[in-house]
Amino acid sequence: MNKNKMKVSTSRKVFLVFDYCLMILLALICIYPFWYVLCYSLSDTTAASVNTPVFLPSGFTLSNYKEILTLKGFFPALLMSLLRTVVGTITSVFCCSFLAYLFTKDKMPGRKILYRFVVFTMYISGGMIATYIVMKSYGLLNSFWVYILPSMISAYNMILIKTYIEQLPPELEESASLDGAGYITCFFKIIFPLCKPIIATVVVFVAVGQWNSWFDNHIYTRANESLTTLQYLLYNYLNEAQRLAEQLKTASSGADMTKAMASISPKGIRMTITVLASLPIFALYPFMQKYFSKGIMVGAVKG
Amino acid sequence: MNRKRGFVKSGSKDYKLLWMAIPFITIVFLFSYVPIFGWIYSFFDYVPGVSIFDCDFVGLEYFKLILKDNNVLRALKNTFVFAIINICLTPLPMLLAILLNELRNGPVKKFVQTFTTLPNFISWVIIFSLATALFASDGIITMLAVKLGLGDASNSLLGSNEAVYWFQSFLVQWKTLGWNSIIYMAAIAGIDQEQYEAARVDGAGHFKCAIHVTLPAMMETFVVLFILNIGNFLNTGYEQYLLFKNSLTAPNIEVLDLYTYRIGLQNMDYSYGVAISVVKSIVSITLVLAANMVAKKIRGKAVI
Amino acid sequence: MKTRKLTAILGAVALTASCLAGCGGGKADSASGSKTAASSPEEVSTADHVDITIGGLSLSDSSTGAWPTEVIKAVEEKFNCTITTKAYDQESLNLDLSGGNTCDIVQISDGNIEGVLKGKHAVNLVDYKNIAPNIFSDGMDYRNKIMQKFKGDNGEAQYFVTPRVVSKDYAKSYGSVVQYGYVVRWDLYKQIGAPTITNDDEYIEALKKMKEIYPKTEDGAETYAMSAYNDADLHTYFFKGCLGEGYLNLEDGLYVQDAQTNALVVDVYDKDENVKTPFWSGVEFYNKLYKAGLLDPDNFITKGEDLTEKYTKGQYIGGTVNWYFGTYNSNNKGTDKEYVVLPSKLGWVNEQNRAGWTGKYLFVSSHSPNVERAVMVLDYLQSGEFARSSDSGVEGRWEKGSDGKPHLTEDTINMKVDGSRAEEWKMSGISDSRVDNLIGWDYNNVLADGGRVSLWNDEDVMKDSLTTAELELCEHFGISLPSDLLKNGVEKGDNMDLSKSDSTIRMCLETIPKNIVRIDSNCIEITKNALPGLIQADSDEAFAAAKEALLQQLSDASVKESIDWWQKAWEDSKSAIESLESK
Repeated sequence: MNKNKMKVSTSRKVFLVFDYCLMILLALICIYPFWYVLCYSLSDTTAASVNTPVFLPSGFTLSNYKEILTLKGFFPALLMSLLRTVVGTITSVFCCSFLAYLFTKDKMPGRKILYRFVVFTMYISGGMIATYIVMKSYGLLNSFWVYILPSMISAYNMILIKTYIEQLPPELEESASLDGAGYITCFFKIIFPLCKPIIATVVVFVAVGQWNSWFDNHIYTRANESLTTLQYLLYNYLNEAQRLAEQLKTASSGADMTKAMASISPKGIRMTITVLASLPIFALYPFMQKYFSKGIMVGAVKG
Repeated sequence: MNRKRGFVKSGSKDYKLLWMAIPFITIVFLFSYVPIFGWIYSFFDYVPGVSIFDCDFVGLEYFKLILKDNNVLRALKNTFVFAIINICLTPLPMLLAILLNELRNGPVKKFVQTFTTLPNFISWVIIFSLATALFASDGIITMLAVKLGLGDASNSLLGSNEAVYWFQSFLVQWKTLGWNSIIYMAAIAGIDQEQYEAARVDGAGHFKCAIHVTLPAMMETFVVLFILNIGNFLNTGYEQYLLFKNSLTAPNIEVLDLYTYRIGLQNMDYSYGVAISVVKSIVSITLVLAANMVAKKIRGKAVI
Repeated sequence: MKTRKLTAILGAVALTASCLAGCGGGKADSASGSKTAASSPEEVSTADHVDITIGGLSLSDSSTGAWPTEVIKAVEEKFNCTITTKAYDQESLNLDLSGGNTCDIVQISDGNIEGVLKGKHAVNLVDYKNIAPNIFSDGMDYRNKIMQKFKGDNGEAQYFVTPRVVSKDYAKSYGSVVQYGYVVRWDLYKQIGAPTITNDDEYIEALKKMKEIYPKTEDGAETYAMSAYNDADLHTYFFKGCLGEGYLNLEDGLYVQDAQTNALVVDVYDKDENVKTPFWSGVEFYNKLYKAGLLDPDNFITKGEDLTEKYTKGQYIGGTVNWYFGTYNSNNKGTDKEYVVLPSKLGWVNEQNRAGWTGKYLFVSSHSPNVERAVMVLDYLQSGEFARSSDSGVEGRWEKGSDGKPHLTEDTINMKVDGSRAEEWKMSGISDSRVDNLIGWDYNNVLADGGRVSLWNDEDVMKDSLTTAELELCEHFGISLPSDLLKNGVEKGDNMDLSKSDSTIRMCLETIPKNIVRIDSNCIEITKNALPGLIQADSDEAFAAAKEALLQQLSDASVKESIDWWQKAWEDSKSAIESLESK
């Protein structure tokens, strides 16, 4: 924040000390799960099962990483994840922000009804089977676009942007409209640049949502291996143990559980994929942060 | 904030705006509204794989079943408790954003800001395995508590039915707090710096600036999210609860979503599951509209 | 404005209608591809390379491990195709069935049979009889009859096949070690003088003594007798009881099957004072452990994986099943610190699955673009040749010995135990658990060449595979294989195996109606929630009171309706099978 030479009072000092301590403590509590996952992924399988790596790796090794990185499907899945994230984020952020802008206009006929029409999508669902059949009838099964189109307009993000635009001083746009600029020009030239903080937020939301989603892959594109994403790969590993337990429940005749149980991949592998799958997001977020940390100067834009 | 928008202040409508919105509305319709035809499954005895025309029509049978089912009542109670705790905790991310904002720009702020969002990226399965390592009878935290005389090893947090509501809500906060504060950080970033200058000229200190400038700027977002959340009252998700459910915690942990999951998949009772989700959708929309009306009465401005 | 609204509504209606039409399962297209003109497998052209996907509820994804293995590669070459397997969960299977686009070959459980038949998702294998000689081989005759009568339209058509059929050429086998029963740590058991264990009380006494001499592990962690595994509903309790009392479990444990008489026994809702049903036997056992302070305090929160972790750390000194030991035994290779299993009343061997494994039905999808090829692949999976190669390795991994019978080569046996060849072992695809549910023949069927399907079950191989602790055990009891404990017990009449039990009755039960499914799952939920009260009961009175309360709750949940249905369905199934056999 800007550095006024104000006299720092004692109470302010006390508050700052308290604030720093609290925030750092919070950050540490939040880092811990990730640290644990990281330690586990760097631990030797046998050593980790004897000594749970709660603070430090037990029996440091990179073998888990080696195993994952040499998995033949790993890099194609990584690329697919990146692709869907990039395409999905660009389209969704554009659609949500433009629609939000349109919805800020009182002059739009049927605005209220249409706005509610979009908002209600947050609360209704036709159930998995119906959605699946609809996707199939659109020809989206085993197609890349099933990652993009259904989630293109997120009511939640649209509302966030709309709320933000409504808080901007309206004079900005009015002055532009006097110059004869149309809606589209106004949106790109005035509104979009002013919305940087919220756009950055939505970019992070959408990108993370895209990156983390595996369910659409699981449901719609499982038959097309070239569309396998990293998170789906992870999901398959995470779910192994659960699936076997499920089998145990229904195994009324002698499936060889001993053999099946031995085939579960070690926890370290799951931890490793978790680490690898969250790394790219790590890269994105700090980059986006610069848009939150510096406040915009509306005056400058007006100037 | 309640200023009219638009180029010319007149009652005339501009159809151009509608035409521009149509493509987006169509997408919403195609992907969110067309699948609602699936609601008809709740009136049939649907068997996955069989055409709906070959399934028996049962009318309102499944809706009647909801009313008769004791489990629904119990699940509803749990859902309510979780939702109320959750709603009470909605200001937390906002508070975090203010506290973060008070830190000086620098590595500490960045560090805290980045790392508080981390738990959001770790799936529940892994959080569960971590929770076991920490809170089981021989977990580190349990052992620490025993040493401090705060509890005994035979009664771990994971198996405590009394602690379910608080423990699970705590986990949710832990996982999402930092992430949810992002939106408020953005709101703060959108504040016109002139407002701070003006406040300072009036002799406001840091604290007063926070109360009179920062907080109001976030309020709009807060109210909107709050009202949207009320609509999500019944949507708690099930994954977390499924993982943490065991014989000891079952009475308090089974929320409506988990119950729906159980009957839909484990019992293959698909139509019953749809019937519940139809009721849920209707309740959600009613709630959100009601909350909106209340907001309109109080603030004179509707959210949706 | 109005016209637009109207158009929108019309559009919606049209779309909805088209969607509805689209969801009609198999429709007519199943007819077009059906029936083959070929009169033998050789006549079908395999010139073009195709993809064959096999998806199933009890399969796992081929992408998560070594694939294609040597065994699978051979099949791929034979039929000029690429084979991949996919794991289905109930959700994705339901969706694929609703959308009518499943994998080429699908494996389902009983719950989906009705949907597959009514929706016409499966091809009639009889139409492809000419290219499916293995499915319709003599050894599969009984299985086929059962499938035709009970898992089809009660006529000539056959849609499903099952894995692991036990044929007439079955050679009894007790395996090398006992798999389920009374688990002990051999070193501790030896130290307390290896007392005989024939029932739960003797076992608990032994556990007490072992815990006394081993209260903490070498790393200082507390030891316990055992813990339940909580991710498989009531399995942990009734399965223990089944082993101890001589019953077979039927899925979720509300009902069990008497291993001797094949009668249906109501398990959880047990009002009969004279019979101790498996569930209550199991619960009492855990209650005794609790009272003796031997039970893991995390008994109700431990899942299978946590169990594996604790076994690996050596924190448990007992148990009931051998599949959670993790790597403890191999970590302590060459020492006497190892888990071994002593037999309880029932030994889980010699199952007579004459119609194959229950709940794992395979069919060829009528939506497959390559029905013929898929049928041929499925047919080959049903062959003795494939069973041998996936259980014992492709030819070359085993050879004909001087006695004219096939034997595993030294190299193969060595590969399994040599840790440095783990990668090679995985790639060989030998006894790969991922294909277990696809193999047509049982491990112990004897093939035409005179050897079993699984050559690992040859006496010599089994003897070679024994570990230090197992050898000591044999020496101690004066036997040649640990499983001889069970074998001798069965011969003396002290123990029993599954040779008298008929798993087909369960398979041929009619589809469980929805209201019964609902009651059953509710009853299981009620029972699960009552477990802590039962197991942590400090006195017999408290236990009896908790039991009474549970039975009352079950009764309120209309358990009697379920019992009536099950008993009737069981008798119906039994008599239907009898009439089929007498024909």
